[in-house]
Amino acid sequence: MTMSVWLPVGILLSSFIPGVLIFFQPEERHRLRTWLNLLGALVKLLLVGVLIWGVFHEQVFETRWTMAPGLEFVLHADALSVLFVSLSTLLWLVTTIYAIGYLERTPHRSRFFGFFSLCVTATVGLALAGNLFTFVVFYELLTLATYPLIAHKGSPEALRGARIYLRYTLFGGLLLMIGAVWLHTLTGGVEFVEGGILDQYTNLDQSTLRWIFLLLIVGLGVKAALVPLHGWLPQAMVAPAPVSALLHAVAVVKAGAFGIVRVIYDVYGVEFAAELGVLTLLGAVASITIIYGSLKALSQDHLKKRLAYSTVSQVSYIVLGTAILGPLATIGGLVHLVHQGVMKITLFFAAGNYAEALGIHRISEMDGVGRRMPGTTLAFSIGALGMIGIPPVAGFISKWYLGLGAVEAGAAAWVVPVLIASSLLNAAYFLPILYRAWFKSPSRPWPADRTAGCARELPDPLLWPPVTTAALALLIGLFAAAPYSPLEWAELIAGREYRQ
Amino acid sequence: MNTLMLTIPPLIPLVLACFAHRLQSRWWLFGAALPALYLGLMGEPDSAISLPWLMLGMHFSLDTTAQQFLVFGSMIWMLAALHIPADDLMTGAAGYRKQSFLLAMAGNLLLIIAADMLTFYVGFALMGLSAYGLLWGASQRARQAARVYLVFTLIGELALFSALLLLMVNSDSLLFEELHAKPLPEAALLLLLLGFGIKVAIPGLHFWLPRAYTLAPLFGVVVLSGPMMKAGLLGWLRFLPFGTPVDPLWGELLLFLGVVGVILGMLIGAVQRESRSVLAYSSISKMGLFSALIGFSLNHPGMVAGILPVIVLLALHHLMVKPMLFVGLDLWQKGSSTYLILPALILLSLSLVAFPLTGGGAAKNLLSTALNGNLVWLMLLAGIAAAVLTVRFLWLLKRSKRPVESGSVSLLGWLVLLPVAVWAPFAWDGMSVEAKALLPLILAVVLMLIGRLLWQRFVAIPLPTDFRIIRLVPRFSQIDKDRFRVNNGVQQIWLPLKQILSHRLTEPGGQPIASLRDSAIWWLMLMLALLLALILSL
Repeated sequence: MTMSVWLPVGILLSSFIPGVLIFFQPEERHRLRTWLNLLGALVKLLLVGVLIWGVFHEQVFETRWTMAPGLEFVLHADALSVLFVSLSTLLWLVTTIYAIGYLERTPHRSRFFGFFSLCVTATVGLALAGNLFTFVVFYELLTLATYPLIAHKGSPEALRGARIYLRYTLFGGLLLMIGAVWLHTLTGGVEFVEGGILDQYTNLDQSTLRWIFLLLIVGLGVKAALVPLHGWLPQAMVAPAPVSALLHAVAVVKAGAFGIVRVIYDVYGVEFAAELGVLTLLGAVASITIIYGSLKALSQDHLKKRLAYSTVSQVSYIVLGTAILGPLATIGGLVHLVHQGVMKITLFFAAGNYAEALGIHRISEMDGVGRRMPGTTLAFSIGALGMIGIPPVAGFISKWYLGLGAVEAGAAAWVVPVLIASSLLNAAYFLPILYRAWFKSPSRPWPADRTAGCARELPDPLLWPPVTTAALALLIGLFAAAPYSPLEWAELIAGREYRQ
Repeated sequence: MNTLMLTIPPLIPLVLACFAHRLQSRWWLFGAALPALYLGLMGEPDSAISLPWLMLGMHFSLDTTAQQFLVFGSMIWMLAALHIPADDLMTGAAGYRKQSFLLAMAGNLLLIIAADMLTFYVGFALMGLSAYGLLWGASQRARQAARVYLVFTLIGELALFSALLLLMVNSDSLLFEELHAKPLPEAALLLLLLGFGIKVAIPGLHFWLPRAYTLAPLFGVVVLSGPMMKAGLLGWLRFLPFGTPVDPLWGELLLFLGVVGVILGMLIGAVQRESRSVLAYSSISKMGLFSALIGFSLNHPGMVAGILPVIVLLALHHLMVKPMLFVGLDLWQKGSSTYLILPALILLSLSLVAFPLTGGGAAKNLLSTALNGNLVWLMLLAGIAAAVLTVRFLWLLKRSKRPVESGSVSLLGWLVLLPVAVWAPFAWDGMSVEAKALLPLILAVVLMLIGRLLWQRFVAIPLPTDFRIIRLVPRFSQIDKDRFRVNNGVQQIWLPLKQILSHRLTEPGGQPIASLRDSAIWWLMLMLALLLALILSL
């Protein structure tokens, strides 16, 4: 009994406590900081393992804390939270290792890792949030914890990128807050319930609910980088590679997408939302975002920028899956939450490695890099092929379920062309990179070769994270139907959401 | 036999591909196809296995078609392995040939034994995309050809993907055997025709093929023209709803496109000046015949049981002969053992034109029987097309020598496989000697002679210098200079026609040069009339 109360709190604290402790460590206590980080990540992984097992067996994990009458702070673990929590936890561990290698011998590492841990705490917090109020709290916390990470380098460019980020997300947060408060005053507190809850309030005006929906989605859409609210994301690529990786795969962008999923499935209920007629609009926005992001990505020569626009496009797969009514599309959207994360983090790790080892920032500088850095480039290739949706990499599974959901819901006429066009565009901006990397030979010296005298292409903490996540992306696609795979879990969630 | 054996043929090349950078001997690549050969020969018919945990559940089964494709396909893969240049096998060689080769092989073998749509699709995608590394070459034009191939392949892939979505929701099962429980959606049919049509190179979707065949390295062309191309056909055989009535429009469409393919392949192929191009257009022509036959079967559900197995036989025959011709051509050009190779090439060519007592002839006899009097004109047309292209191919041999040394291993392998290829697919019950089987060959020779006569008359006339392209008669060896333009088939046909229309009939001086008084024109008209009468009477 006590465990069911303490487990969600424990999962939060396992990154919060190390984070706070790290703030007070002097810069040179490298070893202690590393231990704290890894200990926190491993403890969290262990706790999440227990959580997965429990939620699978329909145990209830819940922590309630009444802050004021009618205002409750609730941590609650359902299948959907578990999906996001396990993704964050696993990728946090990998990213921490990567960051330790990446930031070696740079200043302000205590500050960095402190905020890094807080960022993950906020992400996990909003995954475990049991009601809209708690969600908003962690959502804002995430905004603030990420700002110092983007600005970490301190250059004018970095500060500018971070400022743009802050402007966008604070605006989004404000809208989300207004929407949440409005809904709170109407209903007296909204808990997340599988299958949605608002359809039970028959006294509420439908157009009011539509307006609230709009506020919530626009607020969340800023972080989820829905067009035209995506402007901050390409600017934020000035952040160090581990931050970009976490930002695009787990933390900020994904938090927005996760929020949209929550609002539609567990606040409105997907059937009720369809009844309100708001899903069509969302689907259209998602489709536009998918195509627009890919088109913009085509014209970028800066590798991280191209990846950033690719994120804009790919995260909207999740939103698209949510906006189509039917369990198969739900599965596709939810499973892409995980798949996109694993693949995109691989790509960003690899991009970081290119910059770190050879000073490559631009795609036009990548000629022949495959021979020089085979491990990294192999990982990058798997991630890129997955993004295009080539079987058996994970991205194919997402695309397959999204397409099936669209056909099943009778929306094939516009969703399948969007998926096809997106795949073609993805191929058009990823395959030339692979071609350059593998088939061309270097046409000029590397911009800044820092690997002189090294036996391997990179030190272990930089090489293994992308290789691991690439292998993961391949394995969760190859064994998609195996027990406890993301796909199985997404099917479990979809089953619970459509129980009625 | 343990049914897990079924997974071995695709698994072995897949595993080897992971370690390919260390494999320096070609025998690894050669050996990778051996399990497939074994399974094809010794495998227990109709054994099946399901692996529900792999991807979305994979199902393999070994029916007769799969076994035949395994046997003959694996032989071609082995043949190709013998012809990978030693440079490409070294560690650090450009182009990742070994990896591409093994992955493409794995995909090809996977799709042959696939019993469900998704497994087939995975194999098809793996094969199609990996083949990029086989086509990629050092020259700018080879790269361009490979790129064109890749774009076409991707489009085909996505068409297939969309078709799969529709089929999956329609039948609620991935398995082929449950696919046709309900009638197929029209859109899915169209997408299937498109998706596999690119691999099969039906006219309009064939643009990737001539360049890829002309410019790619030999081993790439060998597998591309053999097992890979036939994979598209196998896709149609597996996916299309034979035996259930569908809108006749689709069958008609495929039949029409097939006939167009046969004719276009013949016309464009006949004026090529490079042997490989001729073989490329011969493939287009031949695949046109297959498309037409598939279209016919779609519209005649009652005859499917008889026709489909014969289509498979004919496909297997072509799967063997075409790659063998490519290899033979290469050996010939390298100038090794002419006295052996020329008869062998002629033998292969005869088999390709369905000469009596060869494998091709037997398959064609069986096909005629199965068609039961239908489509006689198509068979005749296809026969003429094949014969024209083969004569052209043999004609070009005489001046396509290049003095280069070649290894003895590769020659030996080719010679060993020769009898298999000539008599593949061993349909002994179709062997017969009939005089009428020679009809297409004779007609083709006559047509070629007339064509040559005509051209000789035209070429004898002075030309404006910028219209070099008109010189189609091989006596002018400008292959290298004109190669680019010659490869462009549309120009090949169009430019001379335009010339004939605008320039040829009146010389700049105003002198009529090819008028109705010209005896050659009368000859041509007479022969065309005879041909028409013949076709109508049959």
